[in-house]
Amino acid sequence: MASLGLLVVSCDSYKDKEANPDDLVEGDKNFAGEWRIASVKRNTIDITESLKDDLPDFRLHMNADGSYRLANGMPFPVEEDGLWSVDDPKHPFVLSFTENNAVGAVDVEITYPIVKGERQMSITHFPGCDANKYEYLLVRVK
Amino acid sequence: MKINKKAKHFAAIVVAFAAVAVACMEIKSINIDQPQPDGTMAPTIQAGETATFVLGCELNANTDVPEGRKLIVGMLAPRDWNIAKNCTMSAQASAGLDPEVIHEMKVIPNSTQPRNMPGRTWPEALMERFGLGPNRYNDMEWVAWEAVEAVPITNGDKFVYDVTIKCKTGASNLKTCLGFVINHNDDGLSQDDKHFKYAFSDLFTVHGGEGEEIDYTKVRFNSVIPSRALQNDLVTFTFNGDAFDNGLIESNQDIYFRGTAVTQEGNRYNGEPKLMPRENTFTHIYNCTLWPMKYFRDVLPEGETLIAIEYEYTNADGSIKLNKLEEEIISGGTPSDELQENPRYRFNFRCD
Repeated sequence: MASLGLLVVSCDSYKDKEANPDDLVEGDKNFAGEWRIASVKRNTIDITESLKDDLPDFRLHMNADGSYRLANGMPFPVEEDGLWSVDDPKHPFVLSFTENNAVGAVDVEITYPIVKGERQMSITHFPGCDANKYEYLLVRVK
Repeated sequence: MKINKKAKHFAAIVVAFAAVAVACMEIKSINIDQPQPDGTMAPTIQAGETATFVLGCELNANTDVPEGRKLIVGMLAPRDWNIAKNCTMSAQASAGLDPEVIHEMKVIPNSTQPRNMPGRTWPEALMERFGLGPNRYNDMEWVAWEAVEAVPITNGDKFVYDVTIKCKTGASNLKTCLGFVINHNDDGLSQDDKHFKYAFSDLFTVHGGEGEEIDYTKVRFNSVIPSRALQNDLVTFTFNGDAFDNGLIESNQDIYFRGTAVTQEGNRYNGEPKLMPRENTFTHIYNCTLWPMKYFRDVLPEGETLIAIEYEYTNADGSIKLNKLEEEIISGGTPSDELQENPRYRFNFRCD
């Protein structure tokens, strides 16, 4: 009888944990913060080491109010400060920068892995020739 | 390797092709079909002209594949050629299939990964697997093409076909060994070498174009990556002090990059000498990566357009120099008058 009771309890508890897809709410991805470049790949080859004098000059401040500020010691899709947004707050694929006084936005493809509990942001862009692809891995400045 | 001596073709290499799971494929030959002004064929072409390469292939089927297979061909070439944009490929059978039908091939997009090398694009996977072959200068890229339509296969089929590759060459003078890989869509670069074969051509030369000839198979003092770049790219300049004996390395001093901005307006502005870190203690290879817009930010006047960098490698005070003129003399060449006048290396900003 005791074992049957346990079984019932365990079944109940299992049922309680069963996920209802409607109850799952995916949170918005948070990109606000001060970002630095942790690594750079050019045409898939890592060139971070050869840029170690330049990387500290780069900062991207993405503010929660939608504005951004750039200290661009590195080539970047935009040069001037302005406004940022994402195409979908829950599952963003594209990060858009609109420079102050600019007519259109500049879109960049992003991925945003979580590594050791910290969100990172990978930006792919082509600041020079179209044949030269750059992947910047950005991490938040602590 | 055997040399295929077709009367009117420059013969390159013949590679045996082993059986694959569904069929036995073979590259019979790689011909560089490049007519010269005198009517002969040779592996050399004027910069910017279109070169033709023909892979002779054979497929012997030992099973039925009603849904068919798509041929995949990879090619390695200097990034200067931009082959994804400037090459076309097609396959045409001489036996086993209708010889009138030209099978179109298209570049495999980066969203498609090789079945057996997931997590990589085709260019990344081909570079990882096959590398650069005899080439020493790594400013090259692999690109893969796939047949648009699958060809149904019946046990006992024997297809003999040519893959014709037409490439508009780049603007730079160079010598390189081109790479070719044949595979099919069902395999996608498995580890079993029965499923793919590869070959590198003999030296192919592009002449009559821009700049000094770069031999991709030789170690040189100076190299720039990427070879096509604009002012807003990150450009890596490498000084390989082991290429020949030279005074700069023998002086045992720090090595600096000294660059001068050349503008469309016809002016020149010197950037600050930049210390070049040594890659490791085993070789005398030094490099620095510049963002030209930043490197010349303080010296380039507003409104002038940067079109090129002239540069040389020096010691700290600039008294010992290694430039294009020095390289020409040290390597046993005869410097031109132009080089005597302007002895530095020059990198022009361009994309095509």
